Amino acid sequence: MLGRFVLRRLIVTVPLLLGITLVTFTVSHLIPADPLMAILPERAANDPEIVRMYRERWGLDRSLPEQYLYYLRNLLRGDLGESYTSRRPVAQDLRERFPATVELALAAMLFAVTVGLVLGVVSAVWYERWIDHLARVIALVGVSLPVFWLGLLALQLFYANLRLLPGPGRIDPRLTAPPFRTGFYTIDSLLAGDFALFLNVLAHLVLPGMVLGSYAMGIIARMTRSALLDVLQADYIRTARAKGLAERRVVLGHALRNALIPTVTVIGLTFGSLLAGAVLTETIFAWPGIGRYAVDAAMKLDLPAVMGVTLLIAVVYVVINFVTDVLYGVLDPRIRVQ
Amino acid sequence: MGEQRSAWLSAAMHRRRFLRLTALGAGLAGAGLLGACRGASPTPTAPATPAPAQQTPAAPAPAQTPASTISGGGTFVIARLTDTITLDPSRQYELTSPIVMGACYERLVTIQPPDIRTIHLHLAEKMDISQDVTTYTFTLRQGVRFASGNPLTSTDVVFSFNRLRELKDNPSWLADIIQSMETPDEHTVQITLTEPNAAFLAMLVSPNFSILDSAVVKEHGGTDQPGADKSDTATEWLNQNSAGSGPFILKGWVKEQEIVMERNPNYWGQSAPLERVIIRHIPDPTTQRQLLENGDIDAAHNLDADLIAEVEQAGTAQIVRGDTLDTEYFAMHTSPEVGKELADKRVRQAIAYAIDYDGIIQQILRGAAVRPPSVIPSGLLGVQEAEDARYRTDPERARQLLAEAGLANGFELTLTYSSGGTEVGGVSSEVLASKIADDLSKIGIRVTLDPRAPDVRLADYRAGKLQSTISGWTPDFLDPHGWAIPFGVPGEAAARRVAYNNPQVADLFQRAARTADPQERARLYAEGQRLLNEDAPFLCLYQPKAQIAVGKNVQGYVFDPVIGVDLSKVRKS
Repeated sequence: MLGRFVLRRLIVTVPLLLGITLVTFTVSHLIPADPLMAILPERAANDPEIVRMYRERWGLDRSLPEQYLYYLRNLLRGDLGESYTSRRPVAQDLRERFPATVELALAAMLFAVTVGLVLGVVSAVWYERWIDHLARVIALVGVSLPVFWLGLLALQLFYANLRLLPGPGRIDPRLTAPPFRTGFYTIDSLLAGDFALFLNVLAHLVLPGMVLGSYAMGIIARMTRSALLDVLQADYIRTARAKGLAERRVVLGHALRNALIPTVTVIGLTFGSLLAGAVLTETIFAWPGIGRYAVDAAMKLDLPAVMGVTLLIAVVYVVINFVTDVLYGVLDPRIRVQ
Repeated sequence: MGEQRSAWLSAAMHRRRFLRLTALGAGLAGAGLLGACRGASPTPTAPATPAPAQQTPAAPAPAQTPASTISGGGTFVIARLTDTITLDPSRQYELTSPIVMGACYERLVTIQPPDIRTIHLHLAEKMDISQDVTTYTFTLRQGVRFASGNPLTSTDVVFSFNRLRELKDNPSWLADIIQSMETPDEHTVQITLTEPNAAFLAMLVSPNFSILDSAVVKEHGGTDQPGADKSDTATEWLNQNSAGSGPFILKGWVKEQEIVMERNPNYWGQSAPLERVIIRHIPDPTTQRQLLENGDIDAAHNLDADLIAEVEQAGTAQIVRGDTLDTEYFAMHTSPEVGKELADKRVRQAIAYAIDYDGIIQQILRGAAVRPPSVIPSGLLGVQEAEDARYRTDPERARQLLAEAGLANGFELTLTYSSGGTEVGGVSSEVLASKIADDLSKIGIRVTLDPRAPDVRLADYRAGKLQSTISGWTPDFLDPHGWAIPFGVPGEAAARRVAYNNPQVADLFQRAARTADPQERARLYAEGQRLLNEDAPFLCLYQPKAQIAVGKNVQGYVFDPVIGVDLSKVRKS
């Protein structure tokens, strides 16, 4: 049954991704500028021979539909094309940069889920008490403060003034990156057997992780609170209490499980947005992830890079939605039955 | 590389400015709160010469001092917005790679900034230039060894220059002028050019003319034979390693993250004090400043004028200054179809008199710029000699010229600029365009500001579609030839975009290139600039100064317009 469900989802995914490639391709090729004229250096742009060579190399001499089909054909072979500006395969650029973003997003998620859930539960249990008010203020701050402001503030306070936490970057500027294996510095530093570097990497994840996760933390806290409050009014909770169960077991064992369903949706969706929307955090913390890559590519009319990154994010969203759906089933057997 | 570089950087600069302003707005820039440097480096055993920022470095005489007695080093970290796409000396043509080329490779000749007019011998110990500036003969210095231990010979020179040409990459055109090379013996190279060119010596200063260890490069798939653009496979290796004779060796590069270099233990000359240099990709200037003030980095390359002023006032870092070879100019189309009123030379001259150049430099750049008389940057041959051709702000004269052109009541002008872009020297395109519009309004010209996406503006400008625009130019090599041709000769890169055509100017500039005698060359360039300025298709607005913030314990850091900085002279105390 789960198998059929997975299959159905996968079939829906194919036209979805195809549609995304078509829209991105069309939009990016409608820009009224010639990327070659913007990218080639002075002499080269002035030399019709070199311009013609690059047009051929990047397939820009073909008609748009032809270019699109060509792109799709290469895509099926896992070839995302060559970046105009880095002159490297887009796939290679993404392979190097995506792990940085995922590592940061995971750190952010860890922070958001842990703190968000605790705040939400505390709020609901001590409803309308001072601790509830405090937790709600924290959640509100997380939701409403702009990330760039929070990031700059956090750096100024914890790095520049208090010197409690390391500054921008994935590692201290004086250290060098571990040899590339997975692209996750946490894993690569351990694989290289460099425990000091591993600790340095972890320390560097704290500030940007908290800053990036602050919004998701606020949302999760609010969502958990309201869902839990709803559930705590339910008949079966009253029954549980009437049977003399400890309040702790009532809340954590019975209520929270059901209250988690909307929260899981939020977690799934925010994780996607953490991957796609980390541009500002990545900028402030000099983090070499895909958010900055996407913006730089767009600004430089690097069409293959723009399309590669868009496609990657689209795939990530699809996967996350899928995982979320499956998790529903795990949390609530009724959904599985339907 | 001309304008490509500035367009390249503009996008990122805009975001940084935005972030910076928000930071200031949030009132976070309390300089007093920022602490001193963290972690002291070991004291040098060699006597530390106090080196003021702009002090002229000593002559590059290879001292016989053994490497082990030099210290004061450790790891030196440069934070920078890097643009590296390759570290292969014969392919690189961006802004960051020259620093690596300067550290890991060497060239036949070099300069000793701040003097950029005098070219000194380096790997060559003697040179002989024929009277017709067509044959250049170099005698190589004895005893020079590559980091690999291989001796540097004339074969390596020929291999390097041939490979540069045969790769047919962005900088290959620099070597197109070489007709043939002879190697009578191991230490002599005779280069014959396709045509007389007095600028060739200055071109050899460029990082693209670095001398590569031909044995090592061949071992990794390199070739200098015709067809190298397809058959050469050494670039991948050269992106991660170096094959040069310089004081450092390349240890690795991770794109948009870090470039790591270490001291070359086999260096033939005086060993560098620094053990390791890391160039770290940190695009945001505010972040660079924070890292510098916390002692996590030693040099910040992208602080803008405002940040430099703040850091200087706070006294948290030293500021190294030097003249760049970048120029910012105002371009006016000279054809009646596109330029409209601007087709009349008197109207262009009127605009030249109307612009408040001092205001631009003082108010917008906080004084961190100079203004050469024409588009050729100051410091180069024939620029000082053209001083009398300089336009000075004179609104009265401007109005008079407009009246003579029958436009006493002014006219409508469209000024296109890069929306959200940054011009050379880190100036916001909007700010500069608005300032010019304001200046022109004072003589009755009604300016319509026309912002376009940076790359769209560049493409439109290159296609010759803009009535007027502001644009930047970055150097290709250290000779006026590199500006005279594109700006002064019809059909060349810049001249074509404004349909500029004055055969007299073209002739003067082309003759200058064929002239051996420096004085005569300077005279020809000066004369050409006078005529060019009289035609006024391009008005130089400013030539920004490089402003680099370095840690207070850093010595010997001198700005070099070609290789950024000579890292072998830098030390920390």
